Amino acid sequence: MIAYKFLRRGAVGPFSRVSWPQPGKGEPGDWLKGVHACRPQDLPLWIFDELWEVELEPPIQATPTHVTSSAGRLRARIEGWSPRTAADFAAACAERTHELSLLNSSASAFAKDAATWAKSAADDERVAAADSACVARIAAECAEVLWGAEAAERERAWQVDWLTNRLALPA
Amino acid sequence: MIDLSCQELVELVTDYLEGAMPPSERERFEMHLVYCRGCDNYVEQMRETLRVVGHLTEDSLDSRVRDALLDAFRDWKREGGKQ
Repeated sequence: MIAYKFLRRGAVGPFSRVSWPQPGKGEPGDWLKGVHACRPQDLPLWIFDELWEVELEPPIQATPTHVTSSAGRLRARIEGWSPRTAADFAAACAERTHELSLLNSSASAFAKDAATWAKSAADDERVAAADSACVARIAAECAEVLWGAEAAERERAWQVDWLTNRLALPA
Repeated sequence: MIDLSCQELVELVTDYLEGAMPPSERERFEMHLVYCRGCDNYVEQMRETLRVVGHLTEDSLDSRVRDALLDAFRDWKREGGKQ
């Protein structure tokens, strides 16, 4: 199975801090044991600096937010995911939150926060990915607080569409 | 899934770094780190403390320092996260 993996700079595991073996000379990286990865629908939840295409060894277990596998290896970096893309994503999510605030003035605080973090993402590429994740969360939280869990899911689905379209990933 | 607050994360960091969390709680914890730079930095500081000292205790981070960090997180977030 091919899935996706967000990593810290230098192909470092975001939580384990393990260095993933990187692909070279047209070959995938070495296998790493016990991995978590993203399907397209999981991408907005796990944003970090680098995005990679990863091959997973079966059996694969799926949860509502990710997939797990006994082993995985990096195949290729998704070069389209960059600080610029993260900043654009943040701006798009902030605009969405602004639109929600036009429907319900109770969302204005969320919209203000989202705009602040989106500006941070645009101003500093070192934190663009983290701040884009923050804005995405604010947008989903805004939708949930005002209109419930289904609205939050729709917001996340919109984010998935944005990312998969921008990065030309299979949906 | 209910979001973890920064305060809750600080209280759970020892369990997290010592691998004493059930998978569902671990996921909540890590999801918070995705979007909260302050807590991400905090966890990394505690991880380094664990690496150097070998264990974490209530004294690994002075309560006044911890409270100051939490206050700083709140101020930092209120000010839009500028460092």
